[in-house]
Amino acid sequence: MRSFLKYTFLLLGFTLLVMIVLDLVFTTIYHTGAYRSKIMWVRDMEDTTAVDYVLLGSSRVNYGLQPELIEAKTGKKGYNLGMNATNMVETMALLEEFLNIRKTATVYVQVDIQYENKTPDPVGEIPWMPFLHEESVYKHFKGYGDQYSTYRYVPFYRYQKFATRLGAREAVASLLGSGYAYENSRGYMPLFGTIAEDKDFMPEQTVTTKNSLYTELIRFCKKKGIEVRFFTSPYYRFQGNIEKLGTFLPNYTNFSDSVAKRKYFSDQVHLNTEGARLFTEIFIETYFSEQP
Amino acid sequence: MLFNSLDFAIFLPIVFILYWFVVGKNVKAQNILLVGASYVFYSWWDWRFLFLILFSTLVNYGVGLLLTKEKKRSRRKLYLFISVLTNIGLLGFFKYFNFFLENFVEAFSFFGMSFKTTTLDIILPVGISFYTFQTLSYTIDIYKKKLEATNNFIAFMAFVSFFPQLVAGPIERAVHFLPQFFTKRTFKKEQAIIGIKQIIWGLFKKLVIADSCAQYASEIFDNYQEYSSATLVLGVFYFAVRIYGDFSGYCDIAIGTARLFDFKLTTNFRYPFFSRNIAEYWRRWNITLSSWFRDYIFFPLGGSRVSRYKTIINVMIVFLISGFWHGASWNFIFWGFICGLLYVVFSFKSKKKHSYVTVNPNTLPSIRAFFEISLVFVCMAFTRIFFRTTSMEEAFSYLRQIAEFSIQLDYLGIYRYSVELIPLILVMLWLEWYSRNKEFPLFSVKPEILKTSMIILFILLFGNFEEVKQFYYFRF
Repeated sequence: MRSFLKYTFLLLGFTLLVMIVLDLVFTTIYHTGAYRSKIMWVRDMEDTTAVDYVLLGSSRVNYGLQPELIEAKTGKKGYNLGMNATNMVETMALLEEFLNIRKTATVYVQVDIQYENKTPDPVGEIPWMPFLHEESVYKHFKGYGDQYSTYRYVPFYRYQKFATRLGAREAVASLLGSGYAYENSRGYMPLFGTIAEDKDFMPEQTVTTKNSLYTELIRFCKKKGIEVRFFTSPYYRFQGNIEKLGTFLPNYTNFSDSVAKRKYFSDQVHLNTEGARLFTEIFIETYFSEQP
Repeated sequence: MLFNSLDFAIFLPIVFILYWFVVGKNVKAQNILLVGASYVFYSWWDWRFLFLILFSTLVNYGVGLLLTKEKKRSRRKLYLFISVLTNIGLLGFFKYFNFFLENFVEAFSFFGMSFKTTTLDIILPVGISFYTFQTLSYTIDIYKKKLEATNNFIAFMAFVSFFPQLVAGPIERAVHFLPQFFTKRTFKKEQAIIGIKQIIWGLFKKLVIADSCAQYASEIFDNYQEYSSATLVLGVFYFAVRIYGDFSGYCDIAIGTARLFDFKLTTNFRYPFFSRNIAEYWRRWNITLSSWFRDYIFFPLGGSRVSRYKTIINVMIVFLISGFWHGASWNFIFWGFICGLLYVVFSFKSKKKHSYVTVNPNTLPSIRAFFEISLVFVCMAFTRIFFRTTSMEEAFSYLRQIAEFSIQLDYLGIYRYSVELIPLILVMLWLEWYSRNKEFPLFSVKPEILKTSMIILFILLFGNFEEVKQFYYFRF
């Protein structure tokens, strides 16, 4: 029995050792490799000069606004930090990461029918997992469940749990230099194609109750001397109810029906490249023409 | 409780420690512990169905005792009938009630008679097909006087509910398995090390091979209308590998776990992908089920010691029942029919019976052997279309789409492309090919740390941990 237990503990020890080594390897790759997410890009920014603005939010920002066009037309410098499937928890974490390196005068935060989400998004949280061992990142997630402490303290588990997006394939891709050149477009990601179905968009979600996470964001920005503006990106044939956003949020502008034609949409909630250009122009006219 | 879950990773060491360190000197106490552990294991899924296992145990235990005492043939037949009725009745109700009801209604409506019926919302208790067959073999063997009934109820309970093989086999025979509950179990280091390695090999097949293939196979089968013929063919092969990795992986974990408690379960897979004809394939695939059908259905029907025509009928009956055993729908019955047909064609074509190691394990197959192996694999993979789809219409629709012969490979609607999957399947086949004279590739009394460590590394690196995927055969 003793030699069997020795053998078993040897295997368990080996397994644990491999998990620790793999965790170290994967974490190093996600800290130093080619950018597989905007978090990696932001954390690696070498230029520390202040910018005029940053755009925050979900894929509806990521695919919807072109900072290069804003700069060309107004001379204002800024970044599109929209990330797919993010809620306010991840948005807040990304803003903090950005402010650790650079300063901004204004943040534009996209809000929509997802406004009431008060927890991390199951998909949006994944790119954060390689950085969860850092207290500054962990503090954003730890209040939302025990799973985050498991991801943090069990070596390599987070890479296994989210293997689809953080597993061996992604790590190797990052290691081999296959990443996104976010800097070239200042964070804007183009989306192609035109919406297939010509029908109304009637989301089930509505905006009825206030989300305290937004109040925290406002408070945080005020403390840092940053102006916050909220807006809703265009939808195609939107029939939902987001009227209350105007009462819940200061400096709010509703662009949900500002782009109407089908040819500008990739799907009912995302603009294609042409649509993004048009919306950026509307955005410039609304926010940057009024400023000195 | 699933073998590939964290719950089991905690449960198994606890039972192991209690079994060897607390009750290790007393067989009866070990059996009581096994019954308790098995019932906890099963109740993790649904505790209410424990009563079903208990009921089946009581009836078959009682019938066994009555059969031993009774000398009158008619009475003995009656007792056997009670056992068969109870076992098949349970299976029939939970698994086949809705199937028969729907088909009766359809048959009557064909003749212009309509009935208003409601199908019942019945949950299929996990493992019912397996443990009912196990208990049936017990009473049948006593009836045939091949076995003495036991009067040790605890041992019998442990035999019926032994957790490593309770939910998906291997289906053990009482003649082989029940005596193991009476003999003193001693801890054997070599057996335990082999057990651990078999569990690791099973986890590799399940987590790395089967679960990765599953995402491709599921995507292609569930959305087959959107894909080209070439992609659908790929889906067939992915499913074939998935079902093998999943079920044989489960069996390896079950057998390996049993070894830790000094029990020897029957080998259920002997590298079926290397079979050179269909008959050989069925001697290597789900061996305990095939031999159950052989001993309790095929032989009583006359087996092959009758005319060629009668033998063919007997083979077809066995395969049809086997298909129906797998699932209560026509596509499974048809799957059984095709398998039977292939079996008949191949068996009568080839007189040669291949042993388990058909080609020298240290060499590559000859071109002829490779061709034969490939042919059997392709045939069996394609029959699985009827196994994987949910109805006959869907299966034929899938086949029709393959027959369109569109050769471009599609971009699948899945997020993760496991580029490592094909090399890993080849690693599995390569290891299995050169291990055909062993029970499983890691089988060795020597620790072989390096080989085992490599498999552990593959599991950690490429295993599917995103969601705990249930074993495919749990649905039967």
